[in-house]
Amino acid sequence: MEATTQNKLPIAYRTISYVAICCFLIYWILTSLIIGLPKTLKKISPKTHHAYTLVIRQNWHLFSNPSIYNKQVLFIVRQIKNPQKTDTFNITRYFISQRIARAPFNNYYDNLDHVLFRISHYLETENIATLNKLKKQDSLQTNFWYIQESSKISAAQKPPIIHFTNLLNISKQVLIDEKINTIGKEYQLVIKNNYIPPHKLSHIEYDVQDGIVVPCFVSPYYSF
Amino acid sequence: MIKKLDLLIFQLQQENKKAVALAFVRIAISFWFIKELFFRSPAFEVLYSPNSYLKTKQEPILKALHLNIDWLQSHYHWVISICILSSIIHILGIGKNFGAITMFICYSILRGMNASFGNTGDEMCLIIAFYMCFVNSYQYATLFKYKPLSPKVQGLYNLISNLAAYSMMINLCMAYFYTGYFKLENKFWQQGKGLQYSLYNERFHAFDFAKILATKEWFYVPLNYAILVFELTMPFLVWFKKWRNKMLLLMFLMHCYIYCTMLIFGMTFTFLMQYPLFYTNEELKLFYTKVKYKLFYTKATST
Repeated sequence: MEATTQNKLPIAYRTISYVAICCFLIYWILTSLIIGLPKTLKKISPKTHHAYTLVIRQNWHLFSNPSIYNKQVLFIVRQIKNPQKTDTFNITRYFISQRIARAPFNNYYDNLDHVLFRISHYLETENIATLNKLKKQDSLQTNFWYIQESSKISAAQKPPIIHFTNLLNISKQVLIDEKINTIGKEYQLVIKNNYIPPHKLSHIEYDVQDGIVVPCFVSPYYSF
Repeated sequence: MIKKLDLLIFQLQQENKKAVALAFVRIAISFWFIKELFFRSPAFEVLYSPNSYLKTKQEPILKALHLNIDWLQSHYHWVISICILSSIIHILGIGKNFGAITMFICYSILRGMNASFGNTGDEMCLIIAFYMCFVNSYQYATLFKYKPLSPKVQGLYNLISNLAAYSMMINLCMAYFYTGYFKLENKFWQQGKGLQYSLYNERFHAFDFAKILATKEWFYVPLNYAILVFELTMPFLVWFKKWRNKMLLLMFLMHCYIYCTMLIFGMTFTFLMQYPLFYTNEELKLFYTKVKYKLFYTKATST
Protein backbone atom coordinates (compact mmCIF):
# COMPACT_ATOMS: atom_id res chain seq x y z
CA MET A 1 0.00 0.00 0.00
CA GLU A 2 2.71 2.46 1.09
CA ALA A 3 5.06 1.33 -1.65
CA THR A 4 2.29 1.98 -4.18
CA THR A 5 2.19 5.60 -3.02
CA GLN A 6 5.91 5.80 -3.77
CA ASN A 7 5.28 4.38 -7.25
CA LYS A 8 2.86 7.22 -7.96
CA LEU A 9 5.62 9.82 -7.57
CA PRO A 10 6.96 11.35 -10.80
CA ILE A 11 9.94 9.54 -12.28
CA ALA A 12 12.35 12.42 -11.50
CA TYR A 13 11.60 12.29 -7.77
CA ARG A 14 11.96 8.53 -7.73
CA THR A 15 15.29 8.75 -9.57
CA ILE A 16 16.61 11.38 -7.15
CA SER A 17 15.52 9.18 -4.23
CA TYR A 18 17.40 6.19 -5.64
CA VAL A 19 20.47 8.34 -6.35
CA ALA A 20 20.38 9.58 -2.73
CA ILE A 21 20.26 5.99 -1.42
CA CYS A 22 23.10 4.96 -3.77
CA CYS A 23 25.25 7.93 -2.65
CA PHE A 24 24.59 6.96 0.97
CA LEU A 25 25.69 3.37 0.36
CA ILE A 26 28.80 4.34 -1.65
CA TYR A 27 29.76 6.91 0.97
CA TRP A 28 29.55 4.33 3.75
CA ILE A 29 31.50 1.69 1.86
CA LEU A 30 34.23 4.27 1.27
CA THR A 31 34.14 5.53 4.86
CA SER A 32 34.39 1.99 6.25
CA LEU A 33 37.45 1.39 4.05
CA ILE A 34 39.02 4.76 4.95
CA ILE A 35 38.66 4.10 8.69
CA GLY A 36 39.27 0.35 8.77
CA LEU A 37 41.74 -0.21 5.95
CA PRO A 38 43.19 3.20 4.96
CA LYS A 39 46.38 1.78 3.41
CA THR A 40 44.48 -0.70 1.25
CA LEU A 41 42.25 1.98 -0.26
CA LYS A 42 45.26 4.23 -0.82
CA LYS A 43 46.87 1.42 -2.82
CA ILE A 44 43.75 0.42 -4.77
CA SER A 45 42.51 3.88 -5.60
CA PRO A 46 44.82 6.74 -4.57
CA LYS A 47 42.62 9.34 -6.31
CA THR A 48 39.52 8.30 -4.36
CA HIS A 49 41.52 8.30 -1.13
CA HIS A 50 42.89 11.76 -1.90
CA ALA A 51 39.46 13.16 -2.81
CA TYR A 52 37.90 11.78 0.37
CA THR A 53 40.63 12.96 2.74
CA LEU A 54 40.57 16.36 1.09
CA VAL A 55 37.07 16.91 2.48
CA ILE A 56 37.00 14.76 5.61
CA ARG A 57 39.68 13.29 7.82
CA GLN A 58 38.70 10.21 9.76
CA ASN A 59 41.22 8.56 12.03
CA TRP A 60 39.85 6.85 15.09
CA HIS A 61 42.89 5.41 16.85
CA LEU A 62 42.13 7.31 20.07
CA PHE A 63 44.68 6.02 22.60
CA SER A 64 44.72 2.66 20.83
CA ASN A 65 48.52 2.78 20.68
CA PRO A 66 49.38 4.05 24.14
CA SER A 67 52.67 5.88 24.21
CA ILE A 68 55.29 3.94 26.13
CA TYR A 69 57.36 7.06 26.63
CA ASN A 70 56.97 10.75 27.30
CA LYS A 71 58.51 12.74 24.49
CA GLN A 72 60.42 15.81 25.66
CA VAL A 73 61.84 18.72 23.75
CA LEU A 74 64.83 20.25 25.50
CA PHE A 75 66.43 23.56 24.64
CA ILE A 76 69.95 23.73 26.01
CA VAL A 77 71.55 27.16 26.29
CA ARG A 78 75.21 27.75 27.16
CA GLN A 79 77.62 30.66 27.20
CA ILE A 80 79.99 30.73 24.24
CA LYS A 81 82.90 31.76 26.46
CA ASN A 82 82.13 29.26 29.18
CA PRO A 83 80.61 26.17 27.50
CA GLN A 84 80.60 24.12 30.71
CA LYS A 85 77.82 26.27 32.17
CA THR A 86 74.55 25.15 30.56
CA ASP A 87 70.88 25.89 31.23
CA THR A 88 68.29 23.32 30.09
CA PHE A 89 64.75 24.42 29.31
CA ASN A 90 62.20 21.64 29.09
CA ILE A 91 59.89 23.11 26.44
CA THR A 92 57.37 20.26 26.64
CA ARG A 93 57.01 20.55 30.41
CA TYR A 94 56.72 24.33 30.09
CA PHE A 95 53.63 24.06 27.86
CA ILE A 96 52.11 21.24 29.90
CA SER A 97 52.43 23.19 33.15
CA GLN A 98 50.99 26.34 31.55
CA ARG A 99 48.13 24.33 30.08
CA ILE A 100 47.25 22.77 33.44
CA ALA A 101 47.62 26.03 35.35
CA ARG A 102 45.29 27.92 33.01
CA ALA A 103 42.66 25.17 32.39
CA PRO A 104 39.91 25.39 31.20
CA PHE A 105 40.82 28.75 29.57
CA ASN A 106 44.10 27.41 28.28
CA ASN A 107 43.55 27.31 24.52
CA TYR A 108 46.69 29.27 23.68
CA TYR A 109 49.01 26.86 25.50
CA ASP A 110 46.89 23.85 24.58
CA ASN A 111 47.23 24.75 20.89
CA LEU A 112 50.96 25.28 21.12
CA ASP A 113 51.42 22.06 23.10
CA HIS A 114 49.59 20.25 20.33
CA VAL A 115 51.73 21.85 17.63
CA LEU A 116 54.91 21.11 19.63
CA PHE A 117 54.00 17.45 20.05
CA ARG A 118 53.15 16.98 16.37
CA ILE A 119 56.21 18.66 14.92
CA SER A 120 58.60 16.97 17.36
CA HIS A 121 57.07 13.65 16.32
CA TYR A 122 57.46 14.47 12.60
CA LEU A 123 61.05 15.59 13.12
CA GLU A 124 61.88 12.40 15.00
CA THR A 125 60.33 10.30 12.22
CA GLU A 126 62.36 12.12 9.55
CA ASN A 127 65.50 11.76 11.63
CA ILE A 128 65.00 8.01 12.03
CA ALA A 129 64.76 7.68 8.23
CA THR A 130 68.12 9.49 7.86
CA LEU A 131 69.59 7.38 10.68
CA ASN A 132 68.59 4.14 8.94
CA LYS A 133 70.25 5.31 5.71
CA LEU A 134 73.45 6.06 7.65
CA LYS A 135 73.36 2.62 9.24
CA LYS A 136 73.16 1.00 5.82
CA GLN A 137 76.22 2.95 4.66
CA ASP A 138 78.32 2.31 7.77
CA SER A 139 77.27 -0.21 10.39
CA LEU A 140 80.29 0.00 12.70
CA GLN A 141 79.47 3.10 14.75
CA THR A 142 77.67 3.42 18.10
CA ASN A 143 73.96 4.20 18.12
CA PHE A 144 74.50 7.59 19.75
CA TRP A 145 76.87 8.52 16.94
CA TYR A 146 74.14 7.71 14.39
CA ILE A 147 71.66 9.91 16.25
CA GLN A 148 74.12 12.81 16.36
CA GLU A 149 75.12 12.48 12.71
CA SER A 150 71.56 12.07 11.39
CA SER A 151 70.48 15.09 13.47
CA LYS A 152 73.35 17.10 11.99
CA ILE A 153 72.25 16.14 8.46
CA SER A 154 68.60 16.94 9.22
CA ALA A 155 69.49 20.30 10.78
CA ALA A 156 71.75 21.32 7.87
CA GLN A 157 69.23 20.56 5.09
CA LYS A 158 68.60 23.26 2.48
CA PRO A 159 65.85 24.43 2.41
CA PRO A 160 65.61 23.76 6.15
CA ILE A 161 63.16 21.12 7.41
CA ILE A 162 60.05 23.07 8.35
CA HIS A 163 59.53 21.10 11.59
CA PHE A 164 63.06 21.79 12.76
CA THR A 165 62.68 25.53 12.06
CA ASN A 166 59.33 25.58 13.87
CA LEU A 167 60.70 23.73 16.90
CA LEU A 168 63.59 26.17 17.18
CA ASN A 169 61.25 29.12 16.82
CA ILE A 170 58.86 27.85 19.50
CA SER A 171 61.77 27.24 21.87
CA LYS A 172 63.21 30.69 21.22
CA GLN A 173 59.78 32.22 21.85
CA VAL A 174 59.64 30.48 25.25
CA LEU A 175 62.97 32.12 26.15
CA ILE A 176 61.56 35.51 25.06
CA ASP A 177 58.39 34.95 27.12
CA GLU A 178 60.46 33.96 30.12
CA LYS A 179 62.74 36.99 29.56
CA ILE A 180 65.92 34.94 29.37
CA ASN A 181 69.00 36.86 28.27
CA THR A 182 70.50 35.23 25.18
CA ILE A 183 73.39 37.60 24.45
CA GLY A 184 76.72 35.82 24.07
CA LYS A 185 75.04 32.41 24.23
CA GLU A 186 74.49 29.46 21.93
CA TYR A 187 71.79 26.80 21.88
CA GLN A 188 71.13 23.16 21.12
CA LEU A 189 67.86 21.32 20.48
CA VAL A 190 67.40 17.83 21.91
CA ILE A 191 64.40 15.52 21.63
CA LYS A 192 64.40 12.61 24.01
CA ASN A 193 62.00 9.85 24.91
CA ASN A 194 61.55 9.27 28.59
CA TYR A 195 60.38 5.67 28.88
CA ILE A 196 57.55 4.94 31.26
CA PRO A 197 58.69 2.68 34.14
CA PRO A 198 56.66 -0.50 33.59
CA HIS A 199 58.03 -0.84 30.09
CA LYS A 200 61.09 -3.00 29.55
CA LEU A 201 63.64 -1.56 27.17
CA SER A 202 64.95 -4.83 25.76
CA HIS A 203 63.77 -4.21 22.18
CA ILE A 204 64.96 -0.63 21.89
CA GLU A 205 67.73 -0.24 19.42
CA TYR A 206 69.31 3.00 20.63
CA ASP A 207 71.86 3.36 23.39
CA VAL A 208 70.21 3.90 26.72
CA GLN A 209 71.59 6.88 28.56
CA ASP A 210 70.58 8.14 32.00
CA GLY A 211 68.63 5.00 32.84
CA ILE A 212 65.49 5.00 30.74
CA VAL A 213 65.94 8.23 28.80
CA VAL A 214 66.66 7.78 25.12
CA PRO A 215 67.67 10.70 22.92
CA CYS A 216 66.29 10.66 19.39
CA PHE A 217 67.42 14.03 18.04
CA VAL A 218 70.49 15.99 19.07
CA SER A 219 71.25 19.11 17.06
CA PRO A 220 74.65 20.81 16.97
CA TYR A 221 75.12 24.09 18.88
CA TYR A 222 74.11 27.32 17.11
CA SER A 223 74.75 30.91 18.07
CA PHE A 224 71.65 33.06 18.79
CA MET B 1 13.88 -6.06 -3.34
CA ILE B 2 12.73 -2.97 -5.27
CA LYS B 3 9.48 -3.00 -3.28
CA LYS B 4 11.42 -3.09 0.00
CA LEU B 5 13.62 -0.24 -1.17
CA ASP B 6 10.56 1.74 -2.23
CA LEU B 7 9.03 1.16 1.18
CA LEU B 8 12.22 2.34 2.90
CA ILE B 9 12.33 5.46 0.72
CA PHE B 10 8.66 6.12 1.43
CA GLN B 11 9.22 5.85 5.19
CA LEU B 12 12.22 8.16 5.10
CA GLN B 13 10.27 10.72 3.07
CA GLN B 14 7.36 10.95 5.49
CA GLU B 15 8.94 13.09 8.21
CA ASN B 16 12.19 14.61 9.36
CA LYS B 17 12.81 12.00 12.04
CA LYS B 18 15.53 13.90 13.90
CA ALA B 19 14.31 17.49 13.50
CA VAL B 20 14.60 18.42 17.20
CA ALA B 21 18.01 16.81 17.75
CA LEU B 22 19.35 18.35 14.54
CA ALA B 23 18.28 21.83 15.64
CA PHE B 24 20.19 21.20 18.88
CA VAL B 25 23.28 19.95 17.02
CA ARG B 26 23.14 22.95 14.65
CA ILE B 27 23.19 25.43 17.54
CA ALA B 28 25.71 23.42 19.58
CA ILE B 29 28.23 23.02 16.75
CA SER B 30 28.03 26.67 15.71
CA PHE B 31 28.46 27.88 19.29
CA TRP B 32 31.34 25.44 19.70
CA PHE B 33 33.12 26.89 16.64
CA ILE B 34 32.63 30.44 17.94
CA LYS B 35 33.75 29.44 21.45
CA GLU B 36 36.88 27.77 20.04
CA LEU B 37 37.77 30.85 18.00
CA PHE B 38 37.15 33.13 20.98
CA PHE B 39 39.40 31.16 23.32
CA ARG B 40 41.93 30.57 20.56
CA SER B 41 42.20 34.30 19.84
CA PRO B 42 45.46 34.84 21.80
CA ALA B 43 47.09 32.29 19.48
CA PHE B 44 45.78 33.74 16.17
CA GLU B 45 49.00 35.63 15.49
CA VAL B 46 51.04 32.47 16.03
CA LEU B 47 48.73 30.08 14.20
CA TYR B 48 47.54 32.06 11.20
CA SER B 49 49.48 35.29 10.71
CA PRO B 50 52.21 35.66 8.03
CA ASN B 51 54.47 37.12 10.76
CA SER B 52 54.17 33.96 12.86
CA TYR B 53 57.28 32.10 13.88
CA LEU B 54 55.51 28.89 12.80
CA LYS B 55 56.06 28.21 9.13
CA THR B 56 53.30 26.45 7.17
CA LYS B 57 52.88 24.65 3.85
CA GLN B 58 50.20 24.94 1.16
CA GLU B 59 47.64 22.28 2.13
CA PRO B 60 45.80 20.14 -0.49
CA ILE B 61 42.41 21.63 0.46
CA LEU B 62 43.72 25.14 -0.32
CA LYS B 63 45.22 23.90 -3.59
CA ALA B 64 41.89 22.35 -4.55
CA LEU B 65 40.09 25.62 -3.86
CA HIS B 66 42.80 27.61 -5.73
CA LEU B 67 43.60 29.62 -2.62
CA ASN B 68 47.07 30.86 -1.83
CA ILE B 69 48.17 30.37 1.77
CA ASP B 70 50.26 33.56 1.81
CA TRP B 71 47.28 35.61 0.68
CA LEU B 72 45.03 33.94 3.25
CA GLN B 73 47.53 34.47 6.03
CA SER B 74 47.93 38.14 5.20
CA HIS B 75 44.13 38.46 5.42
CA TYR B 76 43.67 36.09 8.37
CA HIS B 77 41.53 38.58 10.34
CA TRP B 78 39.04 38.57 7.47
CA VAL B 79 39.04 34.78 7.23
CA ILE B 80 38.32 34.46 10.96
CA SER B 81 35.62 37.16 10.79
CA ILE B 82 33.89 35.31 7.94
CA CYS B 83 34.12 32.07 9.94
CA ILE B 84 32.40 33.72 12.93
CA LEU B 85 29.79 35.33 10.69
CA SER B 86 29.02 32.00 9.00
CA SER B 87 28.56 30.38 12.44
CA ILE B 88 26.13 33.10 13.55
CA ILE B 89 24.18 32.74 10.30
CA HIS B 90 24.07 28.99 10.88
CA ILE B 91 22.82 29.36 14.46
CA LEU B 92 19.97 31.56 13.25
CA GLY B 93 19.20 29.19 10.39
CA ILE B 94 19.57 31.91 7.75
CA GLY B 95 20.22 30.57 4.27
CA LYS B 96 19.45 27.07 5.52
CA ASN B 97 21.78 24.52 3.89
CA PHE B 98 23.73 27.21 2.00
CA GLY B 99 24.59 28.67 5.41
CA ALA B 100 25.78 25.24 6.56
CA ILE B 101 27.87 24.74 3.40
CA THR B 102 29.45 28.19 3.83
CA MET B 103 30.33 27.37 7.44
CA PHE B 104 31.88 24.04 6.46
CA ILE B 105 33.99 25.60 3.67
CA CYS B 106 35.12 28.48 5.92
CA TYR B 107 36.34 26.20 8.71
CA SER B 108 37.96 23.81 6.22
CA ILE B 109 39.97 26.75 4.86
CA LEU B 110 40.90 27.82 8.39
CA ARG B 111 42.11 24.30 9.15
CA GLY B 112 44.14 24.34 5.92
CA MET B 113 45.90 27.53 7.06
CA ASN B 114 47.72 25.62 9.80
CA ALA B 115 47.49 21.88 9.41
CA SER B 116 49.92 21.04 12.23
CA PHE B 117 47.36 22.39 14.64
CA GLY B 118 44.12 20.53 15.32
CA ASN B 119 42.85 17.90 17.70
CA THR B 120 40.23 15.12 17.62
CA GLY B 121 37.55 17.58 18.68
CA ASP B 122 38.33 19.81 15.68
CA GLU B 123 38.22 16.85 13.31
CA MET B 124 34.90 15.64 14.71
CA CYS B 125 33.50 19.19 14.50
CA LEU B 126 34.33 19.39 10.80
CA ILE B 127 32.74 15.98 10.18
CA ILE B 128 29.55 17.17 11.90
CA ALA B 129 29.67 20.42 9.87
CA PHE B 130 29.94 18.30 6.71
CA TYR B 131 26.77 16.34 7.57
CA MET B 132 24.99 19.57 8.53
CA CYS B 133 25.27 20.62 4.86
CA PHE B 134 22.68 17.96 4.00
CA VAL B 135 20.28 17.94 6.96
CA ASN B 136 17.12 19.88 7.56
CA SER B 137 17.79 21.33 11.01
CA TYR B 138 15.63 24.39 10.43
CA GLN B 139 12.24 23.22 11.69
CA TYR B 140 13.03 24.43 15.21
CA ALA B 141 14.97 27.28 16.82
CA THR B 142 15.48 29.52 13.78
CA LEU B 143 15.14 33.27 13.32
CA PHE B 144 12.50 32.92 10.63
CA LYS B 145 9.62 30.48 10.95
CA TYR B 146 10.09 27.33 8.89
CA LYS B 147 7.90 27.27 5.77
CA PRO B 148 7.18 23.72 4.55
CA LEU B 149 7.97 23.06 0.91
CA SER B 150 5.69 21.41 -1.63
CA PRO B 151 4.94 17.80 -0.51
CA LYS B 152 7.16 16.19 -3.16
CA VAL B 153 10.16 18.45 -2.57
CA GLN B 154 9.64 18.18 1.20
CA GLY B 155 9.63 14.39 0.82
CA LEU B 156 13.01 14.47 -0.93
CA TYR B 157 14.38 16.94 1.61
CA ASN B 158 13.23 14.64 4.44
CA LEU B 159 14.86 11.65 2.75
CA ILE B 160 18.24 13.37 2.35
CA SER B 161 18.05 14.88 5.83
CA ASN B 162 17.25 11.52 7.42
CA LEU B 163 20.07 9.81 5.54
CA ALA B 164 22.53 12.50 6.67
CA ALA B 165 21.27 12.35 10.27
CA TYR B 166 21.67 8.57 10.32
CA SER B 167 25.12 9.03 8.78
CA MET B 168 26.07 11.26 11.69
CA MET B 169 24.90 8.58 14.13
CA ILE B 170 26.65 5.79 12.22
CA ASN B 171 29.83 7.88 12.08
CA LEU B 172 29.80 8.31 15.85
CA CYS B 173 29.23 4.57 16.34
CA MET B 174 32.03 3.80 13.90
CA ALA B 175 34.40 6.13 15.71
CA TYR B 176 33.76 4.24 18.96
CA PHE B 177 33.86 0.83 17.34
CA TYR B 178 37.13 1.33 15.45
CA THR B 179 38.75 2.92 18.51
CA GLY B 180 37.83 -0.23 20.45
CA TYR B 181 38.87 -2.50 17.59
CA PHE B 182 42.32 -0.89 17.21
CA LYS B 183 42.76 -1.06 20.97
CA LEU B 184 41.93 -4.74 20.86
CA GLU B 185 44.80 -5.24 18.40
CA ASN B 186 47.29 -3.54 20.72
CA LYS B 187 49.26 -5.80 23.08
CA PHE B 188 49.14 -3.34 26.00
CA TRP B 189 45.35 -3.11 25.89
CA GLN B 190 45.22 -6.92 25.59
CA GLN B 191 47.38 -7.24 28.71
CA GLY B 192 45.23 -4.74 30.63
CA LYS B 193 47.99 -2.10 30.65
CA GLY B 194 46.73 0.28 27.94
CA LEU B 195 44.98 2.57 30.38
CA GLN B 196 47.98 2.50 32.71
CA TYR B 197 50.23 3.91 29.96
CA SER B 198 47.64 6.55 29.11
CA LEU B 199 47.60 7.58 32.77
CA TYR B 200 51.40 7.81 32.79
CA ASN B 201 51.43 10.01 29.70
CA GLU B 202 52.41 13.40 31.08
CA ARG B 203 50.72 15.30 28.25
CA PHE B 204 47.35 14.18 29.56
CA HIS B 205 47.88 14.68 33.28
CA ALA B 206 45.27 16.97 34.67
CA PHE B 207 46.16 16.22 38.24
CA ASP B 208 48.88 14.32 40.02
CA PHE B 209 46.42 11.65 41.15
CA ALA B 210 46.58 10.21 37.59
CA LYS B 211 50.07 8.94 38.45
CA ILE B 212 48.77 7.42 41.69
CA LEU B 213 45.89 5.74 39.83
CA ALA B 214 48.42 4.34 37.34
CA THR B 215 50.01 2.36 40.17
CA LYS B 216 46.71 0.81 41.34
CA GLU B 217 46.14 -2.43 39.48
CA TRP B 218 42.62 -2.81 40.92
CA PHE B 219 41.76 0.47 39.17
CA TYR B 220 43.36 0.35 35.78
CA VAL B 221 42.98 -3.34 34.84
CA PRO B 222 39.16 -3.64 35.19
CA LEU B 223 38.67 -0.18 33.64
CA ASN B 224 40.98 -1.10 30.75
CA TYR B 225 38.74 -4.06 29.82
CA ALA B 226 35.54 -2.16 30.60
CA ILE B 227 36.53 0.56 28.09
CA LEU B 228 37.13 -2.11 25.46
CA VAL B 229 33.73 -3.68 26.13
CA PHE B 230 31.93 -0.29 26.06
CA GLU B 231 33.57 0.83 22.84
CA LEU B 232 32.96 -2.44 21.04
CA THR B 233 29.37 -3.00 22.16
CA MET B 234 27.97 0.53 22.26
CA PRO B 235 27.78 0.96 18.46
CA PHE B 236 25.41 -2.04 18.27
CA LEU B 237 23.41 -1.84 21.51
CA VAL B 238 22.65 1.88 21.29
CA TRP B 239 20.19 1.22 18.43
CA PHE B 240 17.97 -0.86 20.75
CA LYS B 241 15.62 1.13 22.95
CA LYS B 242 16.18 -1.26 25.88
CA TRP B 243 19.93 -0.61 25.94
CA ARG B 244 20.10 2.94 24.57
CA ASN B 245 19.96 4.95 27.84
CA LYS B 246 22.32 2.57 29.65
CA MET B 247 24.92 2.66 26.88
CA LEU B 248 24.77 6.43 26.45
CA LEU B 249 25.07 6.90 30.21
CA LEU B 250 28.13 4.62 30.33
CA MET B 251 29.74 6.46 27.41
CA PHE B 252 28.88 9.78 29.06
CA LEU B 253 30.65 8.64 32.24
CA MET B 254 33.65 7.51 30.18
CA HIS B 255 33.83 10.95 28.57
CA CYS B 256 33.53 12.59 32.00
CA TYR B 257 36.51 10.50 33.12
CA ILE B 258 38.48 11.62 30.04
CA TYR B 259 37.44 15.23 30.59
CA CYS B 260 38.39 15.26 34.27
CA THR B 261 41.61 13.23 34.26
CA MET B 262 43.12 13.92 30.85
CA LEU B 263 42.23 17.54 30.08
CA ILE B 264 40.75 16.61 26.69
CA PHE B 265 37.89 19.07 26.31
CA GLY B 266 37.25 19.28 22.55
CA MET B 267 36.74 15.59 21.94
CA THR B 268 34.47 15.17 24.97
CA PHE B 269 32.04 17.89 23.97
CA THR B 270 31.89 17.15 20.25
CA PHE B 271 31.12 13.47 20.90
CA LEU B 272 28.50 14.22 23.56
CA MET B 273 26.65 16.81 21.47
CA GLN B 274 25.60 14.06 19.06
CA TYR B 275 23.89 11.90 21.71
CA PRO B 276 20.42 13.55 21.30
CA LEU B 277 20.34 12.15 17.76
CA PHE B 278 19.61 8.72 19.24
CA TYR B 279 16.26 9.98 20.51
CA THR B 280 13.09 10.65 18.53
CA ASN B 281 11.45 14.06 18.15
CA GLU B 282 8.67 13.07 20.56
CA GLU B 283 11.06 11.84 23.25
CA LEU B 284 13.11 15.05 23.10
CA LYS B 285 9.99 17.24 23.14
CA LEU B 286 8.69 15.34 26.17
CA PHE B 287 12.05 15.74 27.90
CA TYR B 288 12.02 19.48 27.13
CA THR B 289 8.46 19.86 28.48
CA LYS B 290 9.39 17.98 31.66
CA VAL B 291 12.44 20.16 32.27
CA LYS B 292 10.46 23.31 31.53
CA TYR B 293 7.68 22.19 33.87
CA LYS B 294 10.11 21.36 36.67
CA LEU B 295 11.99 24.63 36.29
CA PHE B 296 9.10 27.03 35.89
CA TYR B 297 6.12 25.34 37.51
CA THR B 298 7.95 24.41 40.71
CA LYS B 299 9.34 27.96 40.91
CA ALA B 300 5.88 29.46 40.43
CA THR B 301 4.31 27.20 43.08
CA SER B 302 7.08 27.91 45.59
CA THR B 303 6.54 31.67 45.22
